[in-house]
Amino acid sequence: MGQLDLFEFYRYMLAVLVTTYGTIKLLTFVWRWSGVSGQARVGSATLYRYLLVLLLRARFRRFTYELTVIGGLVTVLVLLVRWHWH
Amino acid sequence: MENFSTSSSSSLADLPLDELVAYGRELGLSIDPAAPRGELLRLIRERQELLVELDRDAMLDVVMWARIPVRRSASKEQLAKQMATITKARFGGLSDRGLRALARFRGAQVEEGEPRATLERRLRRQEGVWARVNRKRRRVIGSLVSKFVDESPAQGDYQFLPEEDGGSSLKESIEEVGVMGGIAHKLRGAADQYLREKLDEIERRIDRKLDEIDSRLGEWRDQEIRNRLRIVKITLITAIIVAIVSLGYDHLKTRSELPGQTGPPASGASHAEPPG
Repeated sequence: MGQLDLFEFYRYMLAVLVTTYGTIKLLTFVWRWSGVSGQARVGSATLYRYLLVLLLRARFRRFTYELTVIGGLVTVLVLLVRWHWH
Repeated sequence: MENFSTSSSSSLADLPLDELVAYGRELGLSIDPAAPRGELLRLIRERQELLVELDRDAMLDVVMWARIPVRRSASKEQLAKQMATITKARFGGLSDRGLRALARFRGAQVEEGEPRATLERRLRRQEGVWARVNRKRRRVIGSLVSKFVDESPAQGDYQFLPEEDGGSSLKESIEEVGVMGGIAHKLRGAADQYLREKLDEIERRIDRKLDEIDSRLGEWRDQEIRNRLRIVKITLITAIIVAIVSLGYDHLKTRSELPGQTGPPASGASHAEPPG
């Protein structure tokens, strides 16, 4: 049995927990929304469609700054992950 | 005295703030929604006084010049609402009295015996620099586009919309259906017209409310997207910090495993797990 590295363990557990949490949240969201959209009630279905249209009407130009920052952060993260592999 | 749909001071004062703003804008006022209620009321009353002063025929000239379909019997308020939608800056074909009425309606100073050209120039200047630049830009684009698209046919004579009651007078109605029938027909027509106007007004208010709800939901959506993006940013920053710490840890670990080596660690010596 190899020597236990606490930081390695922490990294591994963090990756597992965060991935599991993210997957569960995503699946819950998809399940909830597919349930709402499939409902026979006209009001809920109409509201759901209206929200979809509202979302589609969003102008992403308004979020240019935020999206640029996120793009920069993703690039930095990808570079850091690549350094881990080399 | 001209009758306005919200003419009496009590009914005007009773209107909710958003209705007041919408009414003022319909009458061609550029109103700041954040302005105090008293200021809004003052501006609207001033506009109503101006409408009383303006010659109805001159207003009709303006609407006809802009080729907006109206009834010959349209009230001053209806004409004013149509005038507020006119943005034309070429005044060819507009009568002198119409030009003066339009200038006063747009808040320009009008002096007695002023030459027409001066008034036109003043109206154009009043538009603002950017509006003029944009208008010229659109004019160029319009002339380019019209070269590729067929020109619309030449405009015929202006025609008024048909009147609500079909133009039949009380005399004609009595002649056709008798005294009681004729009067009843006329009264019913007036009642129908009143109801129709009220229903139209209610419909317009509902549309305005729906537009307002839609724009508020749009703001809420933008705010929500901004919040989500902020959460993504925070998550990414946290991930980057953890990655940097992890990278530093790997570096220290590699150096401690190779105590005799003073230079940088050899490539491929990392024990790092890929995060996530």
